[in-house]
Amino acid sequence: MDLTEFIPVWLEATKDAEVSTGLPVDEALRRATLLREAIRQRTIRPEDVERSTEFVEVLYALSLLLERDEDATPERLLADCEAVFHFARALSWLGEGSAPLSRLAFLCWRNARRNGNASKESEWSRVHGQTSVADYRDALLSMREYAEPSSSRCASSPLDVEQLLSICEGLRDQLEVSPDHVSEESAFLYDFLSTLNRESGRFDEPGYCLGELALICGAANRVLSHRDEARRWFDRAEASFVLVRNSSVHVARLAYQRLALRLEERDFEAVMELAPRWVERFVELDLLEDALKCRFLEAHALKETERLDLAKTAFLGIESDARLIGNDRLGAIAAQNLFQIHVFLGEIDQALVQAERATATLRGLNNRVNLAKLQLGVGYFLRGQGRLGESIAAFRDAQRQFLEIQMRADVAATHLVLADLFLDANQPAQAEREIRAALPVIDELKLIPEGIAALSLLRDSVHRRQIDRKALRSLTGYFEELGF
Amino acid sequence: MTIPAGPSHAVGRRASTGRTVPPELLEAFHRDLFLPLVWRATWRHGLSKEDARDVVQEAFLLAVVKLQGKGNPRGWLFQVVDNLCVNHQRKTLRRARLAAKWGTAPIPESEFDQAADD
Repeated sequence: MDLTEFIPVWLEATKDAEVSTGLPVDEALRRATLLREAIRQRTIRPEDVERSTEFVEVLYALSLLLERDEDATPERLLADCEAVFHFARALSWLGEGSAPLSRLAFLCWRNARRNGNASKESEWSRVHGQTSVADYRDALLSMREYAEPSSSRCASSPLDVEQLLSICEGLRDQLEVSPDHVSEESAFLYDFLSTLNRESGRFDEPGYCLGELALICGAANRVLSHRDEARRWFDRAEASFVLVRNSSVHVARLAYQRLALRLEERDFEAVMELAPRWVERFVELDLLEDALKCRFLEAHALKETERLDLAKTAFLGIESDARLIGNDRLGAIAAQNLFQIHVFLGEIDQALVQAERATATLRGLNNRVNLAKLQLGVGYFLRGQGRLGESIAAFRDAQRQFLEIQMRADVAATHLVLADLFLDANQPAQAEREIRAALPVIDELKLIPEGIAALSLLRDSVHRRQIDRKALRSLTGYFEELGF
Repeated sequence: MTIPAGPSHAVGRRASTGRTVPPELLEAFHRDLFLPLVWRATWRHGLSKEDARDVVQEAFLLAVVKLQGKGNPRGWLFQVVDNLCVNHQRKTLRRARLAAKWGTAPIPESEFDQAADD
């Protein structure tokens, strides 16, 4: 049914008509109370429930009962919310993306937090994202409207934490699709939320959302190589997280982001020392995905310090474990790294298998950041094969992809690689153009402080119109080590 | 007319376009979109059924003007209903505050809107 066409028809057809709005409120609440008890006692099975609109409304009423229950302990409430959620999900006719499911997942998340159950908190946040009925972009627009300075809503209406949770989940999903957009939106929402008082939501949820938005904004800035900005956002996240429930979990997630930043700054020693400790901590907290992400950092550090066999083993383990916990994204990024390692080791056939595997999954996830990085790897691969023209085309394609998602540091790094290739192809004028395009960005983003001497030599050589190849190689070397 | 209360009620309903609307289409729309939106307004935002119905019809009126065919129109409608419910609650709250302040009976909506704008 095309809604844009049918809504006017509906409005015309129902003009001056009495339209049924379902069960009377009292009746729905009475049935919801009975249903809650039946689910608790297991005297009702999903397969016994026939499809009916009335039953759906009773589920809505039950979610309200669970939300407003002030007598039950948080443990009891979490158990009830989970039981009702699983019961509702087992109703094959209800369908994913149904509003009662999303509401119930939110209540599970809220009560998991109140219970101090980190693993469940994380799990229910994810499930909420999967069952959310509204697109996070619509929620974002709505929240922007809510945050308008001219709006009097801010002062008088409560913050919709469920909506904010959906937005955080949506923004997190977009981190590797459009980090610039994520950075802008999360910063805006953080600033707005900072102006509200803590009573504007239930429990400590506004504080949690504030920390989460700062963490997301920091991660987006890290992806964009705005490292000072990323650090500032991580500090803001910490200031919010220390005051909320399960703070140790959120501080641990923050530690992962800080460690990832240190990897990008080539502080491999710190990564090798700290990553295994965080892996242990995450496993203790039953946060397996976060543990896997820390193993990732360790494997990266091994790769960057040229312990390629160890790195290969580590990435193979990550790829296999990612599959076990159903995380396609991590599996694909492991495959992308394995592709590079196989190229370095000259294992061409295995490299191509990994490249194909990674490409298919990353395309499916629309993971633009890692697709661009994969394309960069293809450029290096072709260069290693001596296929200069194809290599230039691959680097150009990667550069275009980086530019589209505003990863300016990677665009600059690719300019330098292309400059080197143009010198190989005896095209110094083109090489000079590439370097001139890269230098202002490297300066602005303060990308490689340790390469300052090489940078200065290169700049001087460009002024003299005689490119210092050694300085250029030295700089591209820094970028390669940085994982660009 | 009550929808749904048996197919006969909707049969032969004519839209202003002169097109006869098949009753099963109206019923499907009622079941799959109208009711879920009313439930959201009632059970998530605490509106009475009457207010919930008015809010949903208002959301449909907005949709006629603003809804494009692209994206997720169903998600958009849920969002609009959420916003209208928040507005409704805000108005109710402010009306009650003004009534308490002035020591009067609840203020009619039109007068309240004028006062709120002032």
